[in-house]
Amino acid sequence: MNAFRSRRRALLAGGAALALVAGYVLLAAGAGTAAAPLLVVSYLALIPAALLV
Amino acid sequence: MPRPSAAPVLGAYRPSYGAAAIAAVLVLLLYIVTLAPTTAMWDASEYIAAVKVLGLPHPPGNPLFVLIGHTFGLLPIAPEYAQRINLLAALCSALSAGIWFLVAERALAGFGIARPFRLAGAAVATLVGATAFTVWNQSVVNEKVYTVALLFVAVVSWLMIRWLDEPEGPRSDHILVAVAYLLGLGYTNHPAGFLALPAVGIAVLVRRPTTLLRWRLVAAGAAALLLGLTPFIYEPIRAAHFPRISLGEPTACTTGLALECTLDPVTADRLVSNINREQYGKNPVTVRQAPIGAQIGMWWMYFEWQWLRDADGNVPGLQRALAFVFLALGLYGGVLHWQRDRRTFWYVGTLVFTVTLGLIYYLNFKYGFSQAPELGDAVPREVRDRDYFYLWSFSTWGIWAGLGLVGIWQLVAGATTGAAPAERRRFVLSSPVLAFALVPLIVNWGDASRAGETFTREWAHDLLNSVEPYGVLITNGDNDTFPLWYAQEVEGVRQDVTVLVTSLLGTDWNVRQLVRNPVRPYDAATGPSIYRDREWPTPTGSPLALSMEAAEAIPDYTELREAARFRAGNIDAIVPPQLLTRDKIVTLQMIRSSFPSRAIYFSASVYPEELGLSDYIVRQGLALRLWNGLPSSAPGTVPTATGHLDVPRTLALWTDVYRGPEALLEQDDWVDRASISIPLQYVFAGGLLAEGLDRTGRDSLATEVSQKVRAIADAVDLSEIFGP
Repeated sequence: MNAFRSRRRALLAGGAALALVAGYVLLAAGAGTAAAPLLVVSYLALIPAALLV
Repeated sequence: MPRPSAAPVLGAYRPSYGAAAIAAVLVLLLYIVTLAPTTAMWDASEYIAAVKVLGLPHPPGNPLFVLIGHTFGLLPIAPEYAQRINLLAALCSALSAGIWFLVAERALAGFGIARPFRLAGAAVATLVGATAFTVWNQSVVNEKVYTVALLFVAVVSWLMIRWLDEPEGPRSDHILVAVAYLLGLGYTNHPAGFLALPAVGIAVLVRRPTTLLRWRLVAAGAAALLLGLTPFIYEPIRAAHFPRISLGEPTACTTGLALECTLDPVTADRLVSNINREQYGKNPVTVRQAPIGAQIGMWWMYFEWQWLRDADGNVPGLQRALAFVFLALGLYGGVLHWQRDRRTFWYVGTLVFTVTLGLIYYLNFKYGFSQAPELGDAVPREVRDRDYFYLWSFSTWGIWAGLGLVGIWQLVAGATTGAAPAERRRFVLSSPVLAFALVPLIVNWGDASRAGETFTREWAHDLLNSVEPYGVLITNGDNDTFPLWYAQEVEGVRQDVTVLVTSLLGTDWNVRQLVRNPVRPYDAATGPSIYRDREWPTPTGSPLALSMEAAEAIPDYTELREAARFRAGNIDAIVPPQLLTRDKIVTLQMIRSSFPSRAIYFSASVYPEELGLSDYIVRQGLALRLWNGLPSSAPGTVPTATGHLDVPRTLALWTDVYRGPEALLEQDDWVDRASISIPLQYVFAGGLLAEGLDRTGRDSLATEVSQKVRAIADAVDLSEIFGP
């Protein structure tokens, strides 16, 4: 169970981190309207990533 | 295997997430019913406009807020853009209320009362906090970023309450890492994101101090904090895209985003300066701006407002009495909290202390705008009332006031737990005592609600439409500026008008923006009919015809030791000796390079006076136009007590264009006295128009305008200016 939760947390954190990088790339490319929701969701996703055990 | 209980005293306590959600929804409904339909005075327009263009509001730039706001603005949840951003404020505040419900319920678990009564007590605490005047009034329009900050404080608080009840182990460690992340993330919304930090520190020290010796956990927390701070990356990236609203412009890039200029030390310097709000150069806390007693007195004045705003000052005695009752309730609740649930007291008590006495000391305000009126200008004052800075204080006070009310409920009922049937009956019979929590909801409704208030939007339209196509409007800042940004950037109104803000022109970045920003076309079809009598050719460039290098070379100031002659078009003026600051140098340069081909206006008379241009000013409605020659010879103008008035143009604006007067009459109130100068503009302009019409023999029209001016003055409580 713990291993499963750990894996889920790692997946969530990894996915959010990747989305974060993609968000900043979009922002730099001038696609701010696409970047903003992606960045917001990524930052929010990192909260449960830290909490899940 | 079930986890061992860390708090056996709590018995069968489990957080009532469902009840908290219902409380949050009810608070949200209240805020929606009283929500502003559009923008409002002060910073509301700046934030809404910055969110729309993905720009940077004033330092520290609030990058997380802009990202969240822009995302919210994309959601199809309300017809108007401003409404969607206002809903963000309402939602954050309502969610915070739901979390305070959980915190109050947890504290009441330490009281040992049965669950139904615990829920009633938590509901009471939520109601008091959510309907305190400033909390409510700031939740129904997005004037600041403070309701988002409130949500961060609330979420961190709930996580810490859970941590306090959690046994040592991986789960409690993860909570701390999440708290560190949220503290950093909250800071990128506003420095208020750190308000919970002292309470977090005290809770850790009291509950489990050895946590601080576990270096891996500390390192993980520090890394999470840094990760939370990364939204600041937004600032140099977006600044290099040159959005229309980019205060501070923290980038070294001059032509567009590039790696080299973004990594340049100048970008880092500008970013740090922006985050640290160096532009404002505030005094250190050791240099007090007012006696600490006066600063506490300011907080107390705002505390009095919370439970009965009484903006018209009709019942000051009742207002004070209610404030003492709520103060006593909160203090009593705090004492009960200390006695009955020491574990959560350490966190909540430190938080209440931080957002009250700690914040009073740190913010170090001058006298409040409305404070001690008998002292007049003898003391330095804040330009507006600062009650919103204590939103967290009044919101969290609701928790303790709720606990206090439950304590009184127990006394009245003569019961302690409500577990036995006889005690339960006594609790139920004495429950009307809780109705006291309804007082702020009932008495604050009129002043806290912003439903139907559209004046600020109309004011922005009216002021912009006072300016001829492609004109330049020179403003002071705040209420004569931010609403214009909203109208231009969010509603697309009169984007052809160049708005020059004197309080920003003193910065190098604002001058660069003035040179760089392209001219936007005038749309005659949507513009006022009074400008449809001719063609308006599009100017070829900025009103400040300077190269970027020349603009950068403008000094911060130059000393004008003797009066200097200034000529532009048919203007031949004398600039008095003074320290000529950058904003004035730029303004004179701009007039010289674009006048009279572009119409130039001022929003107030002080600035042209300082530049020696008063003799060349003619009022056209709400704006003061720089005239190409002495106005006495201009057709249609008449001299008035405060200068020349263009009667035909002002009449046309007043009757065919302006919508602000109707909005004021409909609103029929003006709660915030610090911004009364804006409705006063209509009273002033209308009064001068009536005088001008009278002088030119149009008596009946003059009477009609006079009557409307009086009605406006009555509506916003300015009738005293007409005398008895």
